[in-house]
Amino acid sequence: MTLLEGCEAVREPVVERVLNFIREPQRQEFDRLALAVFAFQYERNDAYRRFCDRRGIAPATVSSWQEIPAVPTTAFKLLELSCAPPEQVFLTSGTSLGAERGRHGFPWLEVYDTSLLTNFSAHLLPDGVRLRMLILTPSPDLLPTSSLIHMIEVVRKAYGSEGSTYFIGDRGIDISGLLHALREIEAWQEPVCLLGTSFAFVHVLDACLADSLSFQLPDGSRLMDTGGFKGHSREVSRGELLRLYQKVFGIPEAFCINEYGMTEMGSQFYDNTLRDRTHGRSRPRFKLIPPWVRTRIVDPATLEELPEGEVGLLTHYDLANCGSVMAVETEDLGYKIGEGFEIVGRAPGAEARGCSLTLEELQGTR
Amino acid sequence: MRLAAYHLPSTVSGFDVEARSFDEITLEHVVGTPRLLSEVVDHVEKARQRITKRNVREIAQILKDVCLRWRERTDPFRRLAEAALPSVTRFSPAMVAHGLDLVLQGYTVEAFDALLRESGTEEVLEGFVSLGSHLRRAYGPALTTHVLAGNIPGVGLPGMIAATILGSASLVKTASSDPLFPALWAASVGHRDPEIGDALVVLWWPGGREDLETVAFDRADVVVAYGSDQTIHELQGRVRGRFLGHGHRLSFGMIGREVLANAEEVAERAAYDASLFDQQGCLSPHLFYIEEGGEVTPKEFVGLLASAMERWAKRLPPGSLTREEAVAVRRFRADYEAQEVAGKDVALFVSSEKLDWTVIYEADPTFTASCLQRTVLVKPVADLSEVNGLLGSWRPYLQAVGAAVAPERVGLLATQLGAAGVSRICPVGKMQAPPLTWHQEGRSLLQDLLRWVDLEV
Repeated sequence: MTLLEGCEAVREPVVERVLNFIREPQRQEFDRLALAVFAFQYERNDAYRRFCDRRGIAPATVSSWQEIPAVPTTAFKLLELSCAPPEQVFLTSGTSLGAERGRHGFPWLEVYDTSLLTNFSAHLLPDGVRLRMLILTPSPDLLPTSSLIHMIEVVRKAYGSEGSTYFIGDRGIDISGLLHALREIEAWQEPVCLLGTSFAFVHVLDACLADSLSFQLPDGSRLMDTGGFKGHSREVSRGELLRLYQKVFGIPEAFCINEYGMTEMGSQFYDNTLRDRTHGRSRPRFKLIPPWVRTRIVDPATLEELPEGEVGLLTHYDLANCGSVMAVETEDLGYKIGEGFEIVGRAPGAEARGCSLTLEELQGTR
Repeated sequence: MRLAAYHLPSTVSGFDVEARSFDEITLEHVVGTPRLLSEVVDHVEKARQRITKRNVREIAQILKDVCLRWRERTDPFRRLAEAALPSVTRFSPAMVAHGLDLVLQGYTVEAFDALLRESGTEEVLEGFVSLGSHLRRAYGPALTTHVLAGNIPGVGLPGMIAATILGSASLVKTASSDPLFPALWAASVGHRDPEIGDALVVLWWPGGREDLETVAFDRADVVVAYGSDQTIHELQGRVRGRFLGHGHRLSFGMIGREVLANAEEVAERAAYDASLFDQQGCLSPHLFYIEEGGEVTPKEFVGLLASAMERWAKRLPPGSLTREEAVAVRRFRADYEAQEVAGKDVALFVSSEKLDWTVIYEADPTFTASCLQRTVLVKPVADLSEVNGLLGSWRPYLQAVGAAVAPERVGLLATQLGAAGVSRICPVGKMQAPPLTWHQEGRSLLQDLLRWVDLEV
């Protein structure tokens, strides 16, 4: 379902406020709204209330968003964390064998979709264009419980021009189909948007490098990649990946945007480069934080906030999670830079998670 | 402070050193080359020939003296160790001081006597001894190479002592997480007896330097190695001579219902075992099985254990954690916290300060390893005899069991645990202080180093 389709029954006032905030953020309102969302979640979310009670924290004792208890991502495997019956449940990919998968139910999908569309267009389409989207993930019918694929499908429907399509089917990546499409696009001089998992891109890049193929995609073409490699392809550093995108697709670095998201979050984070470029700014690459999210980077030993540049654990306070729990403590390491942060990776030894298994699962069944 | 984290025979000269920093401590390492290492081995082998002329008991006496000196807080080597090891190993200063005492207090006259008696080593090293229809004699290795691992002071000491007693020269490759203690030990031996000191080499290089390890392994009669299973497996393939691998292991405790009349005192001892060396050792308990039906319930025991962990955290403060270690503890706690909130029969107790300690009650008795850093699980069983059946696939990794039970139950439990693969059963509160003669992983260090010659006439 997209935001263009019908609207369900009456929504909570606080949810309306979140929707309005995402559409028209008022920075000074964040704290107040965050506290209202916390109070709402404490009341409506039984598991979260038990979690807060266990820590001796209640809305009456919290005076700023930083004090709101953050639920670790592992809790999504064990607890039902929705504030109301979910319209849609997304599952983590459960990469480890036999590991329980995290579940995130969204009672109001419109909040999720509004967040993702606003955020995607701000960072991938800051020039307001519609583009043909060539997608390197499985299509939604193959993986209906993946939040990444839901996101991409919503984006495709909202901003994708004719011919926007998926290049991973039940038989794996359709590399020849993709290369054919890229040749066509090169000839037509119509900019495109490539979207997919980082490891799927590595498979395509490797296929091109092996055959000495390269493309000069039209000006304005761009690329969004996401996720790690987790043994699904060779490991490639971010710098090397950016170099290969330029070399093989002819897409300049500033137009290559890395997305960082997780099933447990209603919002995503994107690189600043394309947005900065459109606004005539030049800064080092980092992840921008959307106005309806706050991110704290804390020392894992003390949980105290770290100064800029020091690596710690990321905790996000995401108003788009108003239907579950707003404050999520991740196992991701990163550091503060500029107005955002940069991801260093998952803490080593952490149970691997994310959308990266989807291709592997499919390849395994071939 | 700048310290030499190496020991070379006094006859070796003309080598380069490089520095490695650990907070305020800078350690100097010898820049290793295969040629230098070869020369050094020549030197220790020469020194070793002089030692073989000496009496086994005399050498043991000297080593025992060195241990005694180390127990003096004013001993210069001991003072260097206390000053530098907290930065190098990341244990707190109190833990380093306590740990050194604990490790060295076991190395008494009686312990050395027992070590020598155990194998009848003295006579067989000095000449052929009759055994039934033939004669036999034992030789120690000419050179023993020791590959150490981990940051617990003294972890390689029994092996170094055993080799020296047998008149073997030793080449010690130290661990990255403690390159200092073995060097200080060797220097202290050399200070007491230069001839023995000249038969010792202590060096550090990053593990996997094949050019150096080829020399270290090819020249040795025996290689004693500590490390992860993967490291052991990898090293084993590169050693042509005798290889004695000690893989990583884990330990646990068992508490019988009959001792729960003194539950507080038992909890104190259990907490001591789990707090020592921040639970990094192979003898550190990961979990305690508590028998139901005693004066306190297993769940009540958890509260007592938590209080005891808090007291030990004050007496022997935990060292600093790396980011990864802190994340691992957070993750471990988060999982049990979520289980508790989800209504499972689980209870989580955590330190008021940082990540000092964590105690978890879990009704599910399945054997579980902890994330360490003073994280202890407590699980109930109706009867301790059930524990054997719970060890499952962990059996190959078991080291010691701390048992707090009535004396009349020890025999049966020990028989069962011994059959399950445990190599040491000891009282709770003594888990981290094994005697010198302990058969680590079921083997005798001294015997393993010997080479027998049979003479039939």
